[in-house]
Amino acid sequence: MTAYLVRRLALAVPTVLGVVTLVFLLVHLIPGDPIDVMLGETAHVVDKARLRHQMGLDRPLPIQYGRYLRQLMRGDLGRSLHSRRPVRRLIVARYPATIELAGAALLVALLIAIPLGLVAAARPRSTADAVCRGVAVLGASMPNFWLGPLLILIFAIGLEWTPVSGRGSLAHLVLPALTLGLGMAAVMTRMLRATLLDRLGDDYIRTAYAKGAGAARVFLKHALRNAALPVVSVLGLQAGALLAGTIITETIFSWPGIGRLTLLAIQTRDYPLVQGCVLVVALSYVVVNLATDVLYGVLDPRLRKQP
Amino acid sequence: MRRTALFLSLALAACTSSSPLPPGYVTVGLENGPITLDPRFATDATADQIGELLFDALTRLDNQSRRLPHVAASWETPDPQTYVFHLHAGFHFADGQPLTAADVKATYDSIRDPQAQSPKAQALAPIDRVDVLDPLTVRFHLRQPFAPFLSDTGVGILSEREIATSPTRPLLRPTGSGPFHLTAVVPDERVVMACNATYPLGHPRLAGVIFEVVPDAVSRLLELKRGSLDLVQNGIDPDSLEWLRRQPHIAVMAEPGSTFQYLGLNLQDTALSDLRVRQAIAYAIDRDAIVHTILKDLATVATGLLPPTHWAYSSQVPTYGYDPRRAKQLLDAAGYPDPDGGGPAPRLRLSYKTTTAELRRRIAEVLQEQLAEVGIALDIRNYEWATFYDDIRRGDFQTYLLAWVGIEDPDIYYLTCHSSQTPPQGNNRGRFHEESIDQLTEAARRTIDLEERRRLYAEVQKRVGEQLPVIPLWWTTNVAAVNRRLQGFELQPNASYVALKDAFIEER
Repeated sequence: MTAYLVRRLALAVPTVLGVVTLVFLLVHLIPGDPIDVMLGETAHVVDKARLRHQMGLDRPLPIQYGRYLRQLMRGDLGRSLHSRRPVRRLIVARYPATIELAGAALLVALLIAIPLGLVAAARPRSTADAVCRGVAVLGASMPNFWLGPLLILIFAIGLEWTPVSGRGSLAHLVLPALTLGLGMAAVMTRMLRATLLDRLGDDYIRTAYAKGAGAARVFLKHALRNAALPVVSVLGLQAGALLAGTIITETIFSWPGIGRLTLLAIQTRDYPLVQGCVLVVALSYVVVNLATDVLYGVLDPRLRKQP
Repeated sequence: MRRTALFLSLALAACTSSSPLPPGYVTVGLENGPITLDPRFATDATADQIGELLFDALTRLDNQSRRLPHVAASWETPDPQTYVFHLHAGFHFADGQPLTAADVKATYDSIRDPQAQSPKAQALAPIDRVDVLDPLTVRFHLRQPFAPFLSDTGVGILSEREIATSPTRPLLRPTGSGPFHLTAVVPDERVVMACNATYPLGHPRLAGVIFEVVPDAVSRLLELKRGSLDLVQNGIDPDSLEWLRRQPHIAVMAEPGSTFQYLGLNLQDTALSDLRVRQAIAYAIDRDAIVHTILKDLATVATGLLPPTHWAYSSQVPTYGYDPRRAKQLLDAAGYPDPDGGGPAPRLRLSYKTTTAELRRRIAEVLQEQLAEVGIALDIRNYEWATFYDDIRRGDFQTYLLAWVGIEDPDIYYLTCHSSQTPPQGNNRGRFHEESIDQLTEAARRTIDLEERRRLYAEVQKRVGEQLPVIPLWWTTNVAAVNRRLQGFELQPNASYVALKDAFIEER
């Protein structure tokens, strides 16, 4: 298992380096001048040239890239061009909110998807299955920009159970987590139902029944464990996407996450901040992928033994 | 079912750990948080609009964009290059120290310090030096007579001691002497300020103000509906106004603003360099229809950069009412006849750049339709803001839609129309050049006498109206939606929140 993890970690290094390089190139190639953002449009050309020189933005791109990599090695993400605060501090201030929302959304998704998927697979083509599938289709087809305000109208305005937006308490977390979690739950329900139905037709299930195991035991211990692998893959992908920030949901619920910070950085051509945010997102994906791989190993011992 | 609902409700209420609004506080919704509140570096509109509650400047702006005494109780100009300000003795910073001439000097010197790279440094370039004559007297010496200098006296004053702690970087929590003291700043989330009970010009009646960042327009309205926001100013979709007006606890206020919306033209373009083509475009646009249907009457058709409330405004300017027939005649005369007698082929094809904002897109579609009526085909190109703005700065456009926000001094005519002000140095984005306007705007910035300046700018407005370097569209109206418990708030032309100083809560 350790060798397996080390191999996975080694593979992550070129991935992160590739992302860092690509983002560095892209932010420097898109139109827009960060010096205009910093000094304002009325600034004197001499002042602009001086600042451009001070920041090294007048140097050839390969030299800027080399300097950026050396800076990264020291753990220095640079300073935001916009607020002039250290990028690391800006990201550290935002990332807990992103993790909090991502965790809550995944929890909502699992709490909905597992029971619905089990019910739908246990009684295929029954009324319960139709209802579960209907809920899944509904969840998958509702965009966040529509579902978010709808939930606000029902729970914050109509029932006054939750605040409209903002962060600060568990109640603030409910609606954004539901908005993100419902869509994910829909995908996971359908996937769980399909894989469970597939597994239920396998020989080892018949063997389990033949040995006298009860339906619940066969279902939860034998079928669910084996059906979980594809679901874990989807879960990993979605967790990665959530940790990259969810701009629409963060905007609707005034959630101070990494998504809004990245958007603002792109809009203002704040190169160091864009690079810092993307780096953190890339690292998040790497960590989530590793976690997914570990979970695979836990669920399926055969994977641990593979060279 | 009811029991479950009650349980859920109680559970969520119990989870709400965020403390309720402190007594006497109001909450204000902001579309964007201030990037920095440090007056030496702050250039974004939000920081400016909040800043007047936290910091005091030498002078303050009245509703006609005139500079009135504030920290400076009075001033004199012994010669056109020298301004001597006599400070009011009662202003104190939040740490209890008095605001003195040394603090004024330190603030201005810090902005002018090349190491600080302040975005405001260029605006203060006319200042040669600042001298402290005594603790309550400060003298500004200018490099040459410069009438717009007074508009630079609106910079919030920081203490000399605090500037010394961060001479070249913005302070996260700068200490001011204003009617409110800053108590907390969470970037892009909230700004909290408490009443300054010793404020010399009468302490605020509110115990404090919380500015909450609520980036989504619909969420801001729903927060207002719920009562968790007391005030939202601007950033309100005109289509939402009817709904807002129906809410019994919300009052909607509207007052003329100083934001000028215009159609920018590239005068280096062959077609647009012809005055007759520019006039034809001006006649072809039905501004009244756009203001009424799209902007829901929250704008006033503009005749020039300065709004009617401005001290230098002149109404003696050419106007271009909607007249498609006249537009067609002008295009004929300019050498752009109708190629197929009312058929689909256009006389002239122009590109039109704008941002991706929904309202801008709708305005673009109406302009496209109106110009098509006179035979001008408009190719609409929407860009993300930074890309759009970069194209405009580089002169890569034929026409575009933009606004001038917070117009204060009429020197804006020099900055946008003088031939020396083409980008990258200045804001003459259309590359306009007219010798008489160059001379008039130069003379006006050297003239200290207000009446003479007024006369000169009346002439500038008339000539710019004749030459049409840009097509004036409208002055935007400021709108606020206010919870009726908040009384005494008044809209300012520059959308400042300064009136919160005199606002109060009236529980019903």
